[in-house]
Amino acid sequence: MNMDIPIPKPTNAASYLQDSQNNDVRAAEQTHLKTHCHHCGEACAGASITTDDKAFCCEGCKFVYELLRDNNLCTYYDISAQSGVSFKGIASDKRRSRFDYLDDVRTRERLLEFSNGTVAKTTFHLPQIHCSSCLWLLEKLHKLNDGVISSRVDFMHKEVSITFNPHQISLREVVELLTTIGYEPELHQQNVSDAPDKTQSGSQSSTTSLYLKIGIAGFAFGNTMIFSFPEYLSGAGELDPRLRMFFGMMSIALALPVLLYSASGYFQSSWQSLKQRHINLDVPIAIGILTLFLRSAFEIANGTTSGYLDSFTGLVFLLLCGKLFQQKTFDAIAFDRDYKSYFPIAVSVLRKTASGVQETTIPLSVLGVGERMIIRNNELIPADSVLESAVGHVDYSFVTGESAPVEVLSGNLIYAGGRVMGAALEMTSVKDVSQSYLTSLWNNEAFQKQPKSALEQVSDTFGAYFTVFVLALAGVAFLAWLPNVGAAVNAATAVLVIACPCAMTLAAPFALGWALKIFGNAGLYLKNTATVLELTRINAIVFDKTGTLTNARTNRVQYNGQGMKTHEQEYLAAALRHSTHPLTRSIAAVMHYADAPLPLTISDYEEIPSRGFQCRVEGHSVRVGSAEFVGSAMVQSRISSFKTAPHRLQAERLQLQHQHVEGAHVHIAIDGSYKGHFTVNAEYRSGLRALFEKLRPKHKLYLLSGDNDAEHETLSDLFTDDRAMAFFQTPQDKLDCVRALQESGLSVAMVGDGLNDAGALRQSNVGIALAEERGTFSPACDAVMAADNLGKLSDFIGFAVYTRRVIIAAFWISVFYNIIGLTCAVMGLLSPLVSAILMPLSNATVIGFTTSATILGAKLRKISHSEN
Amino acid sequence: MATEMVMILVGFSTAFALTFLAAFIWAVKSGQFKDSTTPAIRMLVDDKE
Repeated sequence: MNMDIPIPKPTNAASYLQDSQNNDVRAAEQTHLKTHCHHCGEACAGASITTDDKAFCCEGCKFVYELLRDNNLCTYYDISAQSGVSFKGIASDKRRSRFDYLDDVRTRERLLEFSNGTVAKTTFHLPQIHCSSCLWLLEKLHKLNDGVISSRVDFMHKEVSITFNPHQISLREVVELLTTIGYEPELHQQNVSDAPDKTQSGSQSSTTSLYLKIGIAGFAFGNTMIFSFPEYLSGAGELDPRLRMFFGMMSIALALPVLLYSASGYFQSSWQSLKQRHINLDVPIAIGILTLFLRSAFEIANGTTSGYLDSFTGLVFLLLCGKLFQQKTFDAIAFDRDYKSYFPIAVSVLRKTASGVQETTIPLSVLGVGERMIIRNNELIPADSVLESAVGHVDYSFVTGESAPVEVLSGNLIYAGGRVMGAALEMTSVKDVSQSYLTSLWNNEAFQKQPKSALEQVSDTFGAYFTVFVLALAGVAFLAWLPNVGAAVNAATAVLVIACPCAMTLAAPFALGWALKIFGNAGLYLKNTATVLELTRINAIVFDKTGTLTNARTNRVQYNGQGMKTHEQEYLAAALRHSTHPLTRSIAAVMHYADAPLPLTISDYEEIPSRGFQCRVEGHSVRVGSAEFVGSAMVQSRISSFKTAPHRLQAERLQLQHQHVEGAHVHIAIDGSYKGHFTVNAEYRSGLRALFEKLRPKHKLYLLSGDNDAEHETLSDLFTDDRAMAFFQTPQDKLDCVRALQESGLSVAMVGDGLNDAGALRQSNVGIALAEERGTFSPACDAVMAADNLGKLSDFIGFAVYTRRVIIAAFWISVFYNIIGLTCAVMGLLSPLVSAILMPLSNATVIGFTTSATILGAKLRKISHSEN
Repeated sequence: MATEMVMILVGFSTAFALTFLAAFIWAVKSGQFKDSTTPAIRMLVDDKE
């Protein structure tokens, strides 16, 4: 058997944001006619490694194959061909001590969900899971090691739960086993932090209980309806009184669990809000359903009617369905991440022991100031540190969105959140993990409070007015009938029963739930339905620059300096083509000198890593590289002036800025004289101008850039007002700036991408994080947007406004039904039959209208399926 | 006579329906609604044993 089993697409969201990197590489390379690795499917370079007539691209892949073969697990390759996880691009860190920290008791206890000595259970996130073979192999772990009792994969969340016997295999060995076969678990600070991530399991159990509540309410609804039919069909008085009593009692028996269990949430919530002298939307619902139940029970016991219990159970059923619909979100996207989700659990440090200086691994939680750390290729720097090694490269894309690695020299400050590129670096920590430049942001109060959403505010205000109105009307009805107490009670309770705030309880959940789905199809993933309403209130939008307005992957080249003569340009172009550095290559790409008469001879080519290169073209010396290397005095003087600045923090900040400037500048000297520099900048995204034109009438637009102001002029075109742009912003500055805008009465949306925007995203009313194709990370936010959809932002906001209009229209529909119902109620005409017709009819109209209006609106506005 | 008959039959049918409710509750409690993707893939993966 050799076939590819098609995998159902998990959801648009999941496949979009979590597609494994390996898939793309594989797809691209399989088009060539080369030998492909039997394990991972990547092209084998040069002399390939073979076993059993099968080729492998590396020793790692071959090892996994042999391991699987020896354990009779070769089905792995049959389920989907070349399904293995590539070892390329994975940190080639093979040290045995790498997982030492998993032997630490505290770390281990945090990672284990359950342990009783002979059985332990843990769950790992494995981002490499991508196909049915992964699933198959990961559930066969017990064949590779007897200590593993069982393993279960959750494909959507890319998680595996492993039950094992800690006497036979330690947690560390489990992790090592997974790493050996290519599935290294993602272990981050989040997994072991003091407040374990309860939200996930909490929301899961609440969804489970919601299913139960709906099931019970639905069951009772169907059956009470059957019990009510005989009375509706036969008309009053014709039904055998004993039978009527029997049906009534059966209905009560079915409705009791609905009252006590299914509807319990409404009673708890309204009791909570009343205790705080406040009325929320659940209060009128609780009053309504309680009156409905009590009046039914009374009339059944009296033998007057068979009660309104079908209306009662049906109402609770529909309300809960609305709740479920509203709760559906994008499971596969995490909206609540902070830096802990990305920082490692442990760090390698050098400690002095009796036998000299030794490298040990310590949990990050005990890392203090003054520790000498070793950070290897691709590892994250956990705390602000000073570099001890001579020179190194740090990728700050995680923090700033800037993709070019930055060069740091011995003694330079390195910021937490940077990723080491290339050789391992030694550094000494100068700040605690939680007090570092980036991480201190999370100590801000913006991260402590849970702001009330617009939806809650609107529905609470509505609930308060509604309750007052209904109670007043019931009072009036009671007084009007007064001499006749029976009829007065009858009318008053009928008012309480029939008045249903279904505009808010049904229209909003369905309209917003549909909007959420439609946005998801179009590439905007909202955290919850309340965010849709929040979007409609936005009147100011703040943009980040790097990675948000600009596309970090395509470059724009600019030249600043003296004019160069034609022959000089030719020399330069020839020299640039000789270099392999990404920056010089992107400059070379824009210099077209195809009509150069003869190929120029290049001699004495010399490249000094991370500084630049020099060579002779036709005997003329050409130097290309950093300012220092080329010999521009200008940049040097700038750095020294920053160093003498009175505020140390500012100096530090400017140094970080400067590193970016440096990274994007390429200086040129020809024949010993300095010519100027090329600025390589990320390209602006397409459609920005059109987007800004559309947004400007209704929104104030601002720019908060952590970068320098080199782009000031280009940006002036977009933002028109100079005061709307701010440069050199620290993450804290951005947060404060958003708060200042909010204090001036604006409702702010923040569009950003890096962790340096995390504070502003959190503080803003709607934080929108942009994600490129494989946006494996996004800071805490309210919405994640596919980056190439930025141009559609105004359409999205427009659709959110439309959705709000649909809800308002549904409100008037429910007012219409309420007028009919309340008129019947006040006049004392309410009967079980009237209620049984009117309540489902009004609910169905509201749900049907909002659903169709929202979907139709999306079609007309061409919001949905724009990607396909 | 007919009334008693109806009552008994209704009692039986309700008891029968309750077993379905119990089955649903069991299904929810045992986590069948938690992850609907993985089992769909799992059943397609053949075991040669």
